[in-house]
Amino acid sequence: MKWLFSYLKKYPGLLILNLIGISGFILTELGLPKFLSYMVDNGILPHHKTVIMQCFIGMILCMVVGISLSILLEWVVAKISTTIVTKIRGDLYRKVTRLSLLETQKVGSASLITRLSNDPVQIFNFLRLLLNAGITAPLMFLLSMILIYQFSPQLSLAVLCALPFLIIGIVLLGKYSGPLSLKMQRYLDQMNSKIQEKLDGLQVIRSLNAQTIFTERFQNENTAYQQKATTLGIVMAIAYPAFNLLFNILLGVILLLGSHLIGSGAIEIGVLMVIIEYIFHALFSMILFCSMFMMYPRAKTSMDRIQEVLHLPEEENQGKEFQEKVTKIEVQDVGFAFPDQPEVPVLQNVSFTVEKGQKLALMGRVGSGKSTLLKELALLYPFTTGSYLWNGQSLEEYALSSLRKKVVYVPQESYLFSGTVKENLQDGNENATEEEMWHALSIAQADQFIQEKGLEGRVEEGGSNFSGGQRQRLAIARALLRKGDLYLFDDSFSALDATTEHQLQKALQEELSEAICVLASHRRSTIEQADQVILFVDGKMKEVGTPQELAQHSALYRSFISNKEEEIIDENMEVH
Amino acid sequence: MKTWKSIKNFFPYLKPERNKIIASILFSLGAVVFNGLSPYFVGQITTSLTNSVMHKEAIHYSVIFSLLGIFLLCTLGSSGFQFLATQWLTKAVQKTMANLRFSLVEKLDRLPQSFFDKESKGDLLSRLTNDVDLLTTSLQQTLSDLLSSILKVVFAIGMMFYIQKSLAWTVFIFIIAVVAVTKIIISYSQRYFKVQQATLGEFNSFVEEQLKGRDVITSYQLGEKRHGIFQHLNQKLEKALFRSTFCSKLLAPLLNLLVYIFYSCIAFAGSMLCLNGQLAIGQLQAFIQYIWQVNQPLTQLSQMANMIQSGLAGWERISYLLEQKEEEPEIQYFTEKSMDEGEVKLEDVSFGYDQEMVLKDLSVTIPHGATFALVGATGAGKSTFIQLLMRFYEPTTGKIFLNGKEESEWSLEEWRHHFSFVTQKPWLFAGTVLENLQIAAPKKTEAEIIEIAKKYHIDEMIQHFPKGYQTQIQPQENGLSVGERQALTILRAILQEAPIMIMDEATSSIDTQMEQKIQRVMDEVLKNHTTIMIAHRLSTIEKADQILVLDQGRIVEQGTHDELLKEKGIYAKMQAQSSIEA
Repeated sequence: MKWLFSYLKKYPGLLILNLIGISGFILTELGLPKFLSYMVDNGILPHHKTVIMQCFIGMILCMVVGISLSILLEWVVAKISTTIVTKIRGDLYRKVTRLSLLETQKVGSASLITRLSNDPVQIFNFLRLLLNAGITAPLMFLLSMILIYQFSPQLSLAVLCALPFLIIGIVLLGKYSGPLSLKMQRYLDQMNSKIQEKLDGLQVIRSLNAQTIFTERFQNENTAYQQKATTLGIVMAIAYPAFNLLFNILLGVILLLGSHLIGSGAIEIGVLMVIIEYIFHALFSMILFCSMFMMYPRAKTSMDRIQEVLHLPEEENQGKEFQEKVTKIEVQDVGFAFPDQPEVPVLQNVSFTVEKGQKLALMGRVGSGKSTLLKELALLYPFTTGSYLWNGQSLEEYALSSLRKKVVYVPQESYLFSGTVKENLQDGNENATEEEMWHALSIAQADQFIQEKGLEGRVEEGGSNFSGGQRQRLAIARALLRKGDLYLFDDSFSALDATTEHQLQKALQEELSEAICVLASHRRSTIEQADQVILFVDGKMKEVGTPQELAQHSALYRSFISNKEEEIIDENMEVH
Repeated sequence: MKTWKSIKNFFPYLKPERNKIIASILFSLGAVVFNGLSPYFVGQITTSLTNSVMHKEAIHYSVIFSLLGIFLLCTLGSSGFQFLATQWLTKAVQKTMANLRFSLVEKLDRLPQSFFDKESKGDLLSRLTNDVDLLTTSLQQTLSDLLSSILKVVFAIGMMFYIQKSLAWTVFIFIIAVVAVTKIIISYSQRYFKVQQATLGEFNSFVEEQLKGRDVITSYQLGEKRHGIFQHLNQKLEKALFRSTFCSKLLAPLLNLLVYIFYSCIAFAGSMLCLNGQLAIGQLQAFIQYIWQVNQPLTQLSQMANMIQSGLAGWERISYLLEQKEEEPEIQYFTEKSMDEGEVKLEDVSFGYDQEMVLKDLSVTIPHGATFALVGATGAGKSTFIQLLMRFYEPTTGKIFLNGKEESEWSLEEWRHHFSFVTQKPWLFAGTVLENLQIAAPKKTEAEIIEIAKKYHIDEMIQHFPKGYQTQIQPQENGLSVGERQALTILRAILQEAPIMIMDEATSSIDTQMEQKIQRVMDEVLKNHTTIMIAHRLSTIEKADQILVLDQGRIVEQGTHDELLKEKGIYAKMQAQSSIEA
């Protein structure tokens, strides 16, 4: 809440307007009945036409001012809530872009997406309620009570007696419905996952002739959900009639007491009429106010989730500019473990040196630590232990951004963004000319399939309109445009067929003759062209040497190479 | 017209619950009557009080008590009936929606594969979940209130006429004004709402992309560049959100304005009538109470208009699915008892997803017990070939025979009983390993399944899982590797005990250690089944009795590995290229 108020505080002008708008709403709601009662007592009963006339004009004026201010209120509420929610989204996004990759992965990108899209909507809805009913309702209640008290202190006491019943009722309702709706949500999720399952396994289920079994699996969840939803609906069905009953019983009591007061001459009939209206307003405001608290937990969860991200540590980006060309990288006794599992090292005691023009190949099974090492070399992950030197210098005093400029990193599943081919290539280098783009595309063996639609051809989200192999080649072309000193390929050729990969490797050899190159691969042909090979087992360097040395001395290396003999005789297929 | 038709299409779904709905309607009728009578009796009390005051008499407590008694009874009646009405309606709506969801899911089973090719999975899921939800909410909130609101308005107007005819006529002007204002505001707010939803969609997919491509963005330092686009989108969203919020919220004060104008005018005119003695003060008070009784349901109705429209939109998207043509006509098929044979014959089969043919004039006989491998470049039609055999599609022209009988002579179910199908991406559902296997052989006991797993050398792998056969499988993430999943799907297919095994590159993701074990499994499979497979690995292809080379939808070469190498055609060329690797 405090956090939300810190945003609200930034708009004092709008908040004042908000209060003015609310006063207009109250003016009409409470003012009109007052005119009516005055009209009855001083106009109709004593037969004063002029008083009736005056009251009528008063009513019209009260109404025009009141409604204009109500419209102002709606405008202000919409303005403040949209502005604040936009600001929250902006702050959150800015924060997300400054988080390190590790922090992002810890929260999870699916979760970050909800935090950016759905959570602000929850806050938005709550904020609208807070700015409108949240302020109006208590004010309205207070004013109604004061007015009732002014007319007749005895009757105001009766209203206060009814209040505890109302509050207890609402609290009880919230207590029952809250857990129920949570449970219902869970059944809903489960039901949806059963539908998803059916859609995912469509062909397999059909080939197993198991359609009815899976429909039954769905039906179990469906029935459970229906039962919970019905129960919740019935619990909620109590609310309105119960309020109606409470209000009317109170009304009866007031009428009875009122008759007595009128009989004794303490109040007039018009007053009784207006008091009844005020009671309605007072109790109804109370309901609105309480229902806002029923919305609060949901908004609170969203606020907490957003604040959690806002409090995460940012990546530091300060220091000197690294200006030299990187000609040598050294890794000394390096280790890595994920912060949430420090006892499980992903990498241990890794040391090597690579100089310009050299190629280092990393081998190992999935999970042996190759990808983590490449992310560390790309300065996306920090090293837990050990040191990382460029041209013999420690990197600590340099700004991260200046270091990353020197690195060209190509992950296995390199994401392509929706837009044109050209826009995606410009992500590699904003100032690349078309000529440079075609050059990069031809090295990446991507020029042929791009030629059809040209550089302006569409790229769908994630490059889904290209095959896996085409995506990899496009991503390589994008990477090549960056023209760094240190090239890191994380299994970036895995989806290419043998012929294409061979050609790509040859073209790369020339293009990167002056660069440092580290790559992870399963392919024998790729590995055999490296100057140095490191074979990882469980995060440790098991074998080191040139491919020829390893082929001679290491049985492990030989078993890897022979088992991975991939006689793939066509391009990685696309399934229709 | 279109709206009415789509509403009418929904009626059959309500029919099984019609008793509950009628009960609910009757209850809400009762509630409306009792609720509508209350102000009248309160008015009577006021009138009695006025008379006493005017004539300077003592208050008639006996009259007031009896009136109060009636009033409280009315209250009790209206509250009770209101509760009962909502209760029955909730039961009816929830049951109807559960039935509708069930029909939809069942419908999925009967839709042809070609339907699923056209539709995106996300969209289908959204129809089954979001749209059904939308319809439920809309029904729940409108079905009861719609009727009771209309009844309330009608009843209150009736009471107004009962009290004062000439004053009562004015209520129609008021109603017309309310309808007109509502219509205008809703048409604007819906337009803005659509813009808002579209902008939100755009915003969400942008954010999603930024997070999916986080490693590229961080590494290539694209953060600043993207931030500009974000800010632009965020501002666009702000504008759209503001417009749609403000516009939709404008309705309430405008309707308030109308009701206050009406209220003031009635108060003024009523007072004048009181002065002339044509109206008692109690009557004026009651009349004014009835203004609120007209206004409240009328406001509710105008807000409902939005709700109804969104519910209808949801229903239209749902009925689109329900109206789709189904896969299999209901005819009697002959039944073959023995399942030992597995011979497939294609005669001049051509097939296209649309105009363009993907497979052209295929004729081939796959005899019982043979092993056939399909080879060819991406897009040559290998997967389509397999999908035709599984009858996910029907051939455009030509015939496919199974054990000498034509496709049309078999029911889909029986046809598919002859085939075990292993897909490229292994699919397992949430449940234990055993449950996943039993789905293929519901009659087999655990011991029998384990025995078969042992025979095919997969038992050892399963025993290594944390809980063996009782290990829970999560569809998305799990400790199981792709290779292990593939092994499980192959075992599942074996358990089907069908004579023909179809494998769509089923061993592609198997890693170093798994590979040799799977090879042993494969040898067993080939021994016991007619096998048709798409394969990339030379070692697998070499084992085939016949290799079919597909090129642009045609069988261009057919023969054994050695024969085809001698032919020096496409197959030989593919081999030569891949030997760069070897």
